[in-house]
Amino acid sequence: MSAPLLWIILPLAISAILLALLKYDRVIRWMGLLTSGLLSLIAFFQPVGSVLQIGGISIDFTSSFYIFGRSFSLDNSDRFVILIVYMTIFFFLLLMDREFVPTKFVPLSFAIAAFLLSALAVQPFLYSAVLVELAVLLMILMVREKGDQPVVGILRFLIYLSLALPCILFAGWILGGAQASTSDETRLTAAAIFLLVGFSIWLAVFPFHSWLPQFAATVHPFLFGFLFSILPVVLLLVIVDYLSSLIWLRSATYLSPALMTIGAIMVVTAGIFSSVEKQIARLASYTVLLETGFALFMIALRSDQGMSLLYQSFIPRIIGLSLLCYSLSILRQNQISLVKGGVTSLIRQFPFATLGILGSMLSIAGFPLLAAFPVRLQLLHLIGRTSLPALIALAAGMAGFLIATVRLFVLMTFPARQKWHLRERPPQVIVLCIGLLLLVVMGLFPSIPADMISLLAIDLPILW
Amino acid sequence: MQHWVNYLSIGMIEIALFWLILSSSRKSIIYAFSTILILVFSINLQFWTFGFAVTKLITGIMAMLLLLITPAEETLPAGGVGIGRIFRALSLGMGILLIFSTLASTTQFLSLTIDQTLPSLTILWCGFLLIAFSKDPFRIILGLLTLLTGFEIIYGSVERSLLINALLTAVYLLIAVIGSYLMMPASSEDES
Repeated sequence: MSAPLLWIILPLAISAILLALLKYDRVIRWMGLLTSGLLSLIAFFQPVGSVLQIGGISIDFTSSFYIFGRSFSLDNSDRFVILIVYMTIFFFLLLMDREFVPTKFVPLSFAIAAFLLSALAVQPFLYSAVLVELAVLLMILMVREKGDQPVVGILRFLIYLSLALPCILFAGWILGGAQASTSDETRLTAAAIFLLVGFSIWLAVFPFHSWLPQFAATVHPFLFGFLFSILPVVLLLVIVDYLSSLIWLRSATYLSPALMTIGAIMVVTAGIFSSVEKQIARLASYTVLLETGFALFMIALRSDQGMSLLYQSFIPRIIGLSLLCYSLSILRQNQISLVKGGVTSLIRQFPFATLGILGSMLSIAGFPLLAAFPVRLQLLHLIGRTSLPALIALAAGMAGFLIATVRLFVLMTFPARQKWHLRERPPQVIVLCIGLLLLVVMGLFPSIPADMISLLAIDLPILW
Repeated sequence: MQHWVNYLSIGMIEIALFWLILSSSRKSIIYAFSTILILVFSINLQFWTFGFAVTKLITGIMAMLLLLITPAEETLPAGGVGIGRIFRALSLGMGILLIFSTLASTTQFLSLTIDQTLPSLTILWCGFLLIAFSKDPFRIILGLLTLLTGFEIIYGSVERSLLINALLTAVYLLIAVIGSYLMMPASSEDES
């Protein structure tokens, strides 16, 4: 038994089985919950490379799996991301409302997770772009709804992410020849440019960002929340993989300033665009841009501290985005128009969803005593020692996002003559309260998530 | 050129690219793209193994058939506007001229022959234009497929891994499936 067999091939097989059982939506959901829960538990407790004991049976749990002359390798440093991916699936399946989220969500979520993890596992790593593209194509099957859903946002998503594929593969091919002779400056520069363009498209860096807000406005917020909880996390780790594996790139003096500049552009543009945005659904996409910008700063630090911070930031990031998208999907289910005019005085009908939206946005903006605050504070401290302009850019982006939150707060809590009339269902209220509580608890006790992942943190990859 | 016949193939590819970008009906676009696929196959055959080249051809034809059988409107929007057509033709022509003028250096950089570089780059450029000029899902999907066809001429020559080529083929087919799924009208979706 190997780790890729368990966390890639098995979910793919389960996904195929579940696709054949689409009529039995209850069975599918329970099977999905059981599978994702089990895969998460194994990722948390079972080290790769040791013996797996099931009763009297001992199974050697190896890290590599070979197919058609290529290997897929998942080791202990990947267990954290595996845990994050399958835990996200587990919680989204738990929150899934079968009235509004199609049953195909369950099998496709496993297939997407399998392809994204295989992108992290494939050796040589230069081929990961093809596997990411396969995951992206499955995402489109997941988000397409019946009826007259506009497809412009989905098409943009497809076009941009498909354009990244030739860029990254081509860079990989150039590097294949150039790795042997690092003195070939022309080829290395060409490879660096192709990689830069490919990664910029993947991460929706300005000016390649337009697909993300359009996609967020087109698809169901619940599905957007799921996809963008896991996709950017995996893509960032694939990029880290690239950077740490290419010696000439890793040692390039321009890498840190370049990453910081891209990060600054992302944070500042996300702050500016969100502060003037009129569609609430599109705000979710700016949270993704903002978080990715922060993540690039963490990578640019080129230190253990930066990498550790990057991994720590994934948990508040996923909780914040999930809560925001879950709250938005409650509003959408109740036919609330997700534009600024449509959410005026909404607190009188949806107090918990309103709190969910505002709380998650405040957390993402780095508001004190909320989940993302400790990570933001630490990052600001580290960046402040390195570069003052970068610090100003970070602060400007956070301020822009805070302005967007305050504007939304004013609108949603606008005093109206309307009476209080709660339209949320009790299970939704419970979920929203738990989410808000998590944001507060993680902000008040920042050591809790750090302690929770300490078991896995010792095996996290070291970039520089 | 390695073989004189490639002058003919590449010339016909350039004509088919103009045909592809100027067509306003689905059938005409599909015929143009199928012609390109066959001509690309005739070039690939000289540099790849027969099995590999045939696989790529069959994949392309399967993708085309998938798009062809999808129920959708026959005439595409913005296909018949005169000034738009002139602009598209000029953009393609200028791009081809640019590719011709830089051909020696790009061929040297890619370490391939002109027989492969020239069709590959012109097809890539045509794919970009199709994506850039269209709002219609059919043309966009076809643009993506054109782009991948151009890219595969170069990439297929340098990457011989069975797994990666199989995955690229899967990507190609899945793009056609997604295109068919996005183009399908709501009524047909319910029936299916």
